[in-house]
Amino acid sequence: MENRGETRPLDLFSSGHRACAGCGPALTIQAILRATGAKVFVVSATGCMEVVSSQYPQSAWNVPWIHSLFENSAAVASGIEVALKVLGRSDDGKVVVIAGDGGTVDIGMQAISGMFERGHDICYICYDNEAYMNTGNQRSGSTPYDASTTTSPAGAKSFGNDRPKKDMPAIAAAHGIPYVATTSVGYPKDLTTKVQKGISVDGPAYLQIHAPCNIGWGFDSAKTIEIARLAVETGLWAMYEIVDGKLTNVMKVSKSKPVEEYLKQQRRFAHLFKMPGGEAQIKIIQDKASANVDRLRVIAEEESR
Amino acid sequence: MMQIMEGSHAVALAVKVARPNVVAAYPITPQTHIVEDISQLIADGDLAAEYVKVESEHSAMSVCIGASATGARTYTATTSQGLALMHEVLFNAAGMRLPIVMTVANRALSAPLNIWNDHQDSISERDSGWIQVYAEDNTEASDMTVQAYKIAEDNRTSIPMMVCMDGYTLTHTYEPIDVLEQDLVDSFLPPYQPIDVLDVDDPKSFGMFADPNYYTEFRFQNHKALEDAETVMTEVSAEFGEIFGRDYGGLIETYRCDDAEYVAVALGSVVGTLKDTVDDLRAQGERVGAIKVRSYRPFPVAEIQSALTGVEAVGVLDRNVSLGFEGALFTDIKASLYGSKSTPNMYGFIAGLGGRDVTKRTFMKMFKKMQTSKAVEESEFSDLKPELLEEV
Amino acid sequence: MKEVRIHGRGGQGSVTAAELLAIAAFEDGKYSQAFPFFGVERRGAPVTAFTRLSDKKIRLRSQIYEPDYVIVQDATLITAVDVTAGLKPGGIVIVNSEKSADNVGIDQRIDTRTIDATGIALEIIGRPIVNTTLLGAFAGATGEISIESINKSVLARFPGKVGELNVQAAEKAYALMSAPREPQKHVKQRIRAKRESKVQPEGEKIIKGVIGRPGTSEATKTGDWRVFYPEFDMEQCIRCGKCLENCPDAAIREHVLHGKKAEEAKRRAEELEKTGKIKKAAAKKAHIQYQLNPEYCKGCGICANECPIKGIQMKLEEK
Repeated sequence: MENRGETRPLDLFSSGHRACAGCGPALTIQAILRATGAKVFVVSATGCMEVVSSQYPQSAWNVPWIHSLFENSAAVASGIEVALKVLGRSDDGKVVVIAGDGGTVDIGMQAISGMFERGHDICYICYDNEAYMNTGNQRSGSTPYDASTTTSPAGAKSFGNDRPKKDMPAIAAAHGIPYVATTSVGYPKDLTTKVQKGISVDGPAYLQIHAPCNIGWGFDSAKTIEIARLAVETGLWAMYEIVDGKLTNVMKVSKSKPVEEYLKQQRRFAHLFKMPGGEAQIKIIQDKASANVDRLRVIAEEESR
Repeated sequence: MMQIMEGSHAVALAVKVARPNVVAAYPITPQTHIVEDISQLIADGDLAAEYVKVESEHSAMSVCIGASATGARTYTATTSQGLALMHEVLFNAAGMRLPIVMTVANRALSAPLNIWNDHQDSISERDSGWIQVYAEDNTEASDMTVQAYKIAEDNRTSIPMMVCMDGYTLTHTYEPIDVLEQDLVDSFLPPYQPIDVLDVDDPKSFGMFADPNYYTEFRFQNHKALEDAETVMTEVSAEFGEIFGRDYGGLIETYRCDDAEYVAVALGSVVGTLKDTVDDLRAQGERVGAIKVRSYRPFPVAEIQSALTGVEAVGVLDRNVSLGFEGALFTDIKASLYGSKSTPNMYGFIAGLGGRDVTKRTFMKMFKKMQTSKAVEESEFSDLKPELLEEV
Repeated sequence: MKEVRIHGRGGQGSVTAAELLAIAAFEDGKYSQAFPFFGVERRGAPVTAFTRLSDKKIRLRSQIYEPDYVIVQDATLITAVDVTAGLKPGGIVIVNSEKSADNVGIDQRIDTRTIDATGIALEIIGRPIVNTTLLGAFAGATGEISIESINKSVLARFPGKVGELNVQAAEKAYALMSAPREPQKHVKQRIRAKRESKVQPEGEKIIKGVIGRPGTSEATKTGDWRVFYPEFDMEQCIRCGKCLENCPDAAIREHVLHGKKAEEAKRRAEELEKTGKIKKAAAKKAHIQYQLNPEYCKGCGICANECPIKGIQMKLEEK
């Protein structure tokens, strides 16, 4: 593909991919590859971004790219990294995994743990859209509390998903890897910085990028970025780094917004505003968000001291 | 150079001279001695490979996929549950046409848990798109390991290949091995030079998905390559024979079949016992013979037809069972002979499951049935202990 | 047996339409069958769904290649997909379009009925959801199914207010389509459309190992998925780059003007700035132009939502 004389750098994730209009994860991949540049090997897990980008014979990828299965992308990446090393090609580029939350926090967990523990020089990036969107919005371990999905639907006896989000960054950090970070597609500068740190660190890095899905979450396609920012502004999605085991660079939420502002814009939480007992549920969510904000504020203040 | 050693060690030495770049394996009995020996070879600096100590067989095969797509020569070994855990990855490796080589130290599948030898594990991966060969002895297991790279990496095939060797019966048995010498292997097996690799300067996309417009053609292409592998395997065997003095010939080996009326067919290490049984019966004047099926996939239909046409009866030993039907090899042998001029009577014998010993008596019984049965076609569990079974 | 093929785009409810049609036929006392062609389609991509209606039990399970009726939910599909492929002689094509049947891009010899379902849906339901409207149109145009049964199936699927609005839309379409109309001039009842479909594999040979070439997705022009398109006010634009940065489809490009063109743009901007019409930030970067690539823009509206000066307006695409 040629760069038709525009000043903008070559798109490494090409137009013509079949992601939905306003897709947060597609935007995430654009941003990731803008940050990494062309010298990367990308491994994709089965999922939305794999499917929309690789219907034979058309590929959206302008970097060497491989997809094998759903749960094995960390292992495939390990194979690439080791092969590059033994073939003397380590300087060719960094190995980067791009997988969804299901492929990461659920079915991919074992392979990821192996990859972290073995210390491969790989940057693993999870785009977190908080459910199995490729198959139609089923609940994953990364689905937030009270979200109604097709397998955790709200109903007379259900407020939706009854478990909190799995804390994958903490699990990653527990492996003692040098770099863990969370960021959001709503904060492109932060995302860029963290991706660049993730690929420059020597050893395993884990990034989790909050990436709203307008179809699954149920909001207008124009609001992907707005919703992503609201998640941070309400304290429901925290942005921080864990460098060599130490929590740092916490993004301060000075005056956090009430969680309703985030929840009310999404169909997946709509039942909380209609059902009896919904208010109490919103209070639970608010308490969690506030606790999150307070905890991180303390850390941020300690750091700035 | 002849040396006496354990089968697992022989395979480890064969892997060493094949110069793989990446080894990825997870320990499982009775494969462990192979990967332990390879680890030691690497630790001692005798093999310049990276050994990825993966957390599962699923990841072992996945690491091989990543490494192979990057242009590395790869090796793994497993058995039984480990092979079953690899199941989906095996299909994936074959569909991506990556020439990964794997040793399968054949073992029964659970439940009940059983660590001993039969062929249920690899037979169950029959349709995965891998080439499957079965070794009769440890020299063959060693030779086929090196040949496997040449076969798998040939551009006409580009298919992964598993070399099956019986767990314990071969892997843990000491016997003299003709150890392959590095310089001879180097002249036989060139470095792996794939056409398509993951490359930042020529960024291709590997493992795309294919909708109904394309899927059949990819499957057909894969199927055709497996069929064409018959030619490649025969050529490679001949070239190997020229250098090392051992040509295994085609995809089957016939033993005293020329004027045979009754022929027994089997896979793997029991073929040695079968050959001895044939000699014993021949000494008594019986016109019996044996066929060793070296390659189960691709399945050598034409060779089997020509070897079995005109015989009175065929008996097939299966160390596996397709539950609810019969032994898998028996089905395939029958299918191969469908429509031949004079179809022999056919008898299936399921025996040697989960390490139950297969002896000359097992084969004697087989030949007896071939010679005396009135049935045209029949399958049985031939070493069953009825006394352990409740009457139903 | 009558066979119906529905062409739509992901998110337009084509599969739902096929199902509702089958349910309505069942309500009318018929046997029916509805099924989608399962792709991996995302919102906006072409999808197909099928319905069979019969007085007898339906055993046939293949897709529909020679339909009696075709419903086209989105007129932009006419150039992307061969919507009339295999249409039976005397078959009817119902197209969602404000244009007349002769101007919608379908062979004029084919009996084509157009209806502005988007307009009706926007007016009555308030959203461009056209599937139920088109079901009303189908009932009106073909008489294969009663509008009462259509309404019943719609209400069963969408209870409450939403369902009622959908029923209103369907009834309006029904009334329009069942009204007497001017016959098309060129229609020939005997024409048999080719069975060939445009969505066939491309001519090139497959590469073993399922290996593809980089950037080849650009062959898929996702621009025809959109309902709305962004219009840029380049005079007011402060060139912050937020729209470029936030386009999931890389469909907004930055062009830098050079030489005379750049000077011209600067001069004009300075004039506007003097009169206070635009901000200094906008004037300073007048030589930088943002351009939409209409081939790929899916019309999500993120750029408009994120534009800090609200200088991007989403406009309804004319179809």
